[in-house]
Amino acid sequence: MTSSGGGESRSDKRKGAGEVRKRKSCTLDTEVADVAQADEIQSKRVKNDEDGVLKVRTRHKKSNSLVITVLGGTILRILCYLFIYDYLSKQPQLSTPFVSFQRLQSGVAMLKDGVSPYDGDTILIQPIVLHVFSVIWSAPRWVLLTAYIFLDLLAAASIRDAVQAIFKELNYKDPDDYAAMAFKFYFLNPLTICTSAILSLATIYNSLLTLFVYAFCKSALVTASVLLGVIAYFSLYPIVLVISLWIRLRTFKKISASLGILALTLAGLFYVNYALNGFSTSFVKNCYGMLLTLDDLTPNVGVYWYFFAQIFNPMRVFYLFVFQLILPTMCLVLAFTLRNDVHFHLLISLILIAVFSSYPTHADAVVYMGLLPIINEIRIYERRQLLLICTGVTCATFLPITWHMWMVSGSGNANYFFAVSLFYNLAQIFCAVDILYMKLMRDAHVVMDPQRKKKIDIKTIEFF
Amino acid sequence: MDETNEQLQPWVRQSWVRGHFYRFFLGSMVIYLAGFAYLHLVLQEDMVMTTYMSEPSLMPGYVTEKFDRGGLANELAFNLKQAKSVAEKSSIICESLLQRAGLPCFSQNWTSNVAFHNSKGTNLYTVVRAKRSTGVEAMLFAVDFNQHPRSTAALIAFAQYAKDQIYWYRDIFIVFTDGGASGLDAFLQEYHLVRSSGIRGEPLQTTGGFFISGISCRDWGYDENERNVPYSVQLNHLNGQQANLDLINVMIKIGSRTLDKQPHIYAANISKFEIEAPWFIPYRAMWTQAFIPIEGLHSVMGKYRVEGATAIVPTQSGNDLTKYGKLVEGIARSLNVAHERLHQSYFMYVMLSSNHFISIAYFYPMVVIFVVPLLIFILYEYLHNMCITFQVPPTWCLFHFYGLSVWIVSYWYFANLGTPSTIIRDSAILLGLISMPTGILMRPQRDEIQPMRVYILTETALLAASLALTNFSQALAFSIIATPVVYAATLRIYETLTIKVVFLLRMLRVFFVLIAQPFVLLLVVSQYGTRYFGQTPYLAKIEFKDLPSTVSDLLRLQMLYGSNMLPLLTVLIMPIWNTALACAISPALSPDGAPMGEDEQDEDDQVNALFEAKLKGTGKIDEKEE
Repeated sequence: MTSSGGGESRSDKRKGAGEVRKRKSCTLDTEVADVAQADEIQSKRVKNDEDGVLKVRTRHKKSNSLVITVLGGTILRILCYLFIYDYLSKQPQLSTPFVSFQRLQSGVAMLKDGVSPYDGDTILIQPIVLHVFSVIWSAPRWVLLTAYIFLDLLAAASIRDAVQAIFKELNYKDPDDYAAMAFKFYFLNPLTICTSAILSLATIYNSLLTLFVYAFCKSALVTASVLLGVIAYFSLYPIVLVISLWIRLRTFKKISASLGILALTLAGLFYVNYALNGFSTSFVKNCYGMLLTLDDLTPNVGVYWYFFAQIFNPMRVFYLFVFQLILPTMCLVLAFTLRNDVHFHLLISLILIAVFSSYPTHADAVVYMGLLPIINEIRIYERRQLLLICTGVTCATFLPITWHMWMVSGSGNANYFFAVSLFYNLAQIFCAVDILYMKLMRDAHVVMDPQRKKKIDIKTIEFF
Repeated sequence: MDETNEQLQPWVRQSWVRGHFYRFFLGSMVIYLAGFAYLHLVLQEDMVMTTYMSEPSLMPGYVTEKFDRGGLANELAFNLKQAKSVAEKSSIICESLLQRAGLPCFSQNWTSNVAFHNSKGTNLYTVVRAKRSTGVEAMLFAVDFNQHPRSTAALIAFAQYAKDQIYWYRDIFIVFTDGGASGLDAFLQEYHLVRSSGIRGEPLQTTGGFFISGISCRDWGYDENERNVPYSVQLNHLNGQQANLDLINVMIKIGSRTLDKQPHIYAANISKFEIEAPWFIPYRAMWTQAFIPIEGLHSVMGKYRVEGATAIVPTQSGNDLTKYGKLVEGIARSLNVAHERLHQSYFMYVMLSSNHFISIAYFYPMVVIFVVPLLIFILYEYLHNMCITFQVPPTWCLFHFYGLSVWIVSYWYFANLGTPSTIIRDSAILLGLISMPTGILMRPQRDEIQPMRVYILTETALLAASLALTNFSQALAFSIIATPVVYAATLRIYETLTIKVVFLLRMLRVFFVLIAQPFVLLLVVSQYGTRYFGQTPYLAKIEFKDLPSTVSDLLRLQMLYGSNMLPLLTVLIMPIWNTALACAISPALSPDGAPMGEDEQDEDDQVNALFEAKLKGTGKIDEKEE
């Protein structure tokens, strides 16, 4: 360890004092040396046995940890559903018109009554989702909750396997440990739990997105293309992940095939929805038009609603174009910088989606949070870890409070809520910038001095 | 390590931090003390803003009151005072409304839904419909007719007067409640078509538009024989909410003119008037906001987003009721001409006097300053270990899980199974469960201690900052007490000290955390606080044996009105206290994170045992023994 000032000297003294104490406590100093030499062969045998026992114990510990994680996460979801469902379902940071279960209920009710859900501008959910839920609507609510918990488990398992695949592909240390950590990050994340407990459609979309991430990391390109088509059909903005897919595929032939599959999936889904909606395209305006034009200014954790609530109408179209182009432009430009690091491009793209989509929720952030263990190898270059964590936690706490002040008690106004959501997005942007910085710094040092990589690897702290 | 690599490594910072512990320590102490200096500075009247009307359309200065039914009010007041029963009083009110004023008199029965608290009553209400609009908006006047006969009489007389006027743009609802805040809560629930688990009322026979504001009236309850009692305004709502400052300004300006008396703020909470020093008022304001959930009828109005306040009017002489009527008329006419819902003015403030206030921009930093020492030590812990381990300490989770479980189970029990006869016994059991020192019973593992420090520091800082947005005074009280407690509990005790000193310091801080137990503090606060700030039905001077009844009071407040004091205590504050206790008991950590003190002795013992076992394994020790 590097020495500096009085801290080092005290540390050395303490170590020295500790050793002296240990020596004093052992009265047979000379025998120690003899025993050590005579024990050499025997200790190797013991060590082998201990290693075996250790492996079995570690395996048991991991399986226990998994069981506790799954059990704990499930119980938390059930508790949230039972006790604070009403409170959580009204929180704009968890539910937007596009993923709201209440809107889904209204849509299904309209569908069952024979009224077109898309006559007004309330229902912004695709026909296929409404039809699927109208089939299972009669099932008890706990069945739905169970299904949501299984979807979360599926998503967490996908994230775990994706992280494992990335670690193996990049030859990082301890892939299993970090994969298990990614599982916990996703399944025990309070934001995931709350999203799942209010039966938000974001849980379904997230499970599809994580399946895509898994297929992407496993290089299952056909599956990845199909899944990307499905998820892009439902929430549009993940379409920018096609850039990550392209830089992973590299060859023109594969890219063409991927594009073809993606287009076919999108077209197929569109036709199914078109047919389910009575061969009418009325759903397009609600499901996609609203997403692009931001006509519904229901507050959320994004940055656009407040801006478009304030802007003068003549400027609206201009800024709509500008804001909608930010996300694809950034992802495209990053593709040049990170062309050799597709996983990091995917990670940063997911962060950008969570910030620059029109109606983001906390659910958009949980996928990239689950993938964060992949930056462990380069975290030696981190600059704002504490700041980002503290800002994230503070914003997650303050958002419901400022919403309460604005909507319930009337002691605050929109500015409070928007200020906190602005900081929340700022933290996410800084997170993306920090990851990019870490990656580029690492690359720079490896290029400058190949030996550097080895040195840094040795010194990497076990952060997680 | 070469020089370039050294620049990359964060261990440089780590070593620097470890070498400068005392700077962090002293810096934190100085900032904490600076918080008190700022508190003193910001509460000076010269340093703060004077009140002003954000909503000029209220025009309180332009209203000329013409109320002339003082005689009627006096007669009614006399009759109401003579009436013995609630039914008799009800019939007097209804008769006077129906026969003399020609106004409708509706009634609403309500009852408590809480198993252990039997209460019921009958509200009476009337409405003066607006003649100049369709009545999409309304204003509310409320009085507890069982407690305040003079105010009731003044409102009936005002209703009769108001019916004859043609300038009303908003309906005027006058509610005569029976049972105080519970009765008004039942009325407002049904008015807004809201269902609460605590109180259930009959549906209303007539309703109106949203209430732009609500004024509660009461006689001066104390010092009936005192001739020079002040006119006072109460403004605190449930859970730290406060009335819109424009409404308070209207009440103060019109009240001081019509009653010809200097208005007082928070004066109604004290039984005597010796303590009227100006510097004392903001402290009393914060005391009221922090610890008195239900100040008056107006306190439940905030739940329905009705801007409400209570006017406490001295009514000793016969002429006083004419002035009282003028006051009500003035307020009603001022609210009648408001252009829109009261939303522009301040909602978060601390009153220094009737015409001075501190805005959130000045008082919020107070809490931040008190919390900064915690933030500094989060930074210290982070730099010290060069990471925040993402391990969630299971013991920390258990503390919170325990608190949450106690709350959920007890809430269910008291809502469904509790009975009035067993409430004190059950509350004593609940008190025992809440106060359980789980920090001693559940000792954290060695590797949990470091992350637990960061968690408790962060949690305390976050709770204080969040609470300050909803109930500033509670947050201030919490941060002033919690910061030194958490600070002491998480402070690293270094190895430069001897083991005995380390042990002594550990015991000292455990003692310090133990005496900071929230219920112990409650006892202390009730003993000394009520001496200076006055007793109320909701915060009286209590002895140790009264603690169960205090818990049952808190339960009742939560279940009837939705007060957050008990859940806050059970689910957040007690787990924080238990975590602090666990951190205080845990072994001291050396700069390298190795445990110090008695655990080190354990380690030495383990080394010796291992060594002896090895010797036995080789047979050498056996030979020596032989």
